[in-house]
Amino acid sequence: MALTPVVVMIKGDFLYHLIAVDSEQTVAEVAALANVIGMGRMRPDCEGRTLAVRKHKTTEPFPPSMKIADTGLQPMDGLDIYPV
Amino acid sequence: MLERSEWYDIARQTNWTPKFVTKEELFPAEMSDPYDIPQELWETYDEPYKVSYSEYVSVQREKDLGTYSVKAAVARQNFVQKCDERWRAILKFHFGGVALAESISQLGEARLVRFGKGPGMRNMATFGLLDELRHGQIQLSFPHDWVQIDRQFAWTHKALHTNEWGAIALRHLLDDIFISRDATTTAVMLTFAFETAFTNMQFLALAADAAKAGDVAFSSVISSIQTDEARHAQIGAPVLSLMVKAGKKKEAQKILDISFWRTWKMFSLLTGMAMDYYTPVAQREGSFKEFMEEWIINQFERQVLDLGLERPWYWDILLDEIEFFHHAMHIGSWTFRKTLWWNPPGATGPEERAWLEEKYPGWGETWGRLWEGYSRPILEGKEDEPQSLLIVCTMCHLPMIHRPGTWPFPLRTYNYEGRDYLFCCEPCQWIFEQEPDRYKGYVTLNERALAGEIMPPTYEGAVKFMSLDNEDAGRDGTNYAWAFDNQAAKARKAG
Repeated sequence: MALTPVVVMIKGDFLYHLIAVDSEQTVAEVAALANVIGMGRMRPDCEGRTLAVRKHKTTEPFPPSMKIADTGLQPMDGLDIYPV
Repeated sequence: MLERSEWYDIARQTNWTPKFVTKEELFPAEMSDPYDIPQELWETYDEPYKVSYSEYVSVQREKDLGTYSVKAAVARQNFVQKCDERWRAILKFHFGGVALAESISQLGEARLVRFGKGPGMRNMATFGLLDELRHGQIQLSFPHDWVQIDRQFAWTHKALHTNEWGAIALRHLLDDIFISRDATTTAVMLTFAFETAFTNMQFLALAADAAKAGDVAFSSVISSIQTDEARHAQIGAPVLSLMVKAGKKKEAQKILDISFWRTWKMFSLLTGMAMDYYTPVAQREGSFKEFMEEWIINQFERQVLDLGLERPWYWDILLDEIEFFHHAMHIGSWTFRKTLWWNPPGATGPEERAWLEEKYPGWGETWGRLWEGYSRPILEGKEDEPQSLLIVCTMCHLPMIHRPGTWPFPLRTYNYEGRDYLFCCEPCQWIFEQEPDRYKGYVTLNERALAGEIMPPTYEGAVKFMSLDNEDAGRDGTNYAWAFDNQAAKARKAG
């Protein structure tokens, strides 16, 4: 288990978030964080929808079952979370 | 008795020839004038507003008498005890942000007094320094009486000594443009960019809103201060004019562009939220955008062009930010409200929403939509707490935000000497790139969290780091009345 700080941006939101992701977490678990860190303001956009996660400035999302340890994320990399 | 005009020009020519030190030792370039403006040009510095010491003392005495009389009269009316929490939020925010900033500006004026190369500039700055002493004292004095009514007023003196995020942002700005540069640059940054451009708006616009709100004391204090600002803010324009004459237009433009942008960000937070959210709709004189257009876009731009300079290169970015930046600061600071020393009202009930949509077409689809999202847990009686830390900009130290609706967000990073720096916008990054060695060592809130200084590295840890893990921590100023009012309005509409 290792924590990596990343910059999270959620589609429809206005804030940039600093969170620590665990190397053992799956991408799907990180995507679900959008409901939590986006608080009430993002729930209408995110709740009940499938959320994808990709590294900032890339186009392809990570597979939902992939572990964070396998994504190659470095500290302070950007992560886009968006409904698909 | 001679008239002032008969003796003033002779009496203030104090550029004597030093005998015991060289001129370079008396006025070192790094403290006085790194632009090497010829002394003959400095001799032509002509202050637009001339005043003698006896005139100054006489006028200031009258001003203080008037303002402190109002203070005594208002104290008997218990205005602060009775006023709306929304108005109290403005008072707490203003005094906490401004009172000690006035004290810091004393150091900037003092640098002009000692190291300014124009005799008239030194003379005006002497009065400017005395002005700032008065401004610091008067704005500490008024809220001091209110601490017994509401302990958050103690942050008037406390805020700038803490690690509260807004206080860090303000200190970084003031350190940069008030007290850590040479006298020539400080004259431009402090008196022209900060005071001429923006304090007008904060003080005059807010004085008008205060008068409408019935806050005679606040209106009187800030109007009294603004009469001083209007005088000593005139130090900078002749300096810019001299720089242009000396062939230093490029350098003049650069220091103006840096300080103007840095100041804009802070006033967008300070004035923008107060005018468009905290002030009740019935008492609003106009929107923040309207005041920006009148005071900055029209008046300041004309002044810059008249001096032979250009509008800052980022003018279009500024026009765009006027539309949204303070909306983001309001909802962002409200979201993280425990990190504030005042109680911000959500202030997005039916009446406010209609006003905001009229002043900022499209507000409802962007910001209004986010506020609606916040309503649901509130109406269900749940307290929705942040579960992340915000990212702050390396330059303005305000939370990094982006206009909702565009995707993906830009994530501006700049690598310098192997380290990545994050910026909220192009002008903030440009300022860093102009003098990276000046700014590179500063440790942001995020870096403090990563370094283990904020423990635990969570919202609660940040609140503690900011000395707000007590009764001072902000809460919604109207107990979420805006959310319940919206619900009631929807129910009425549904019949």
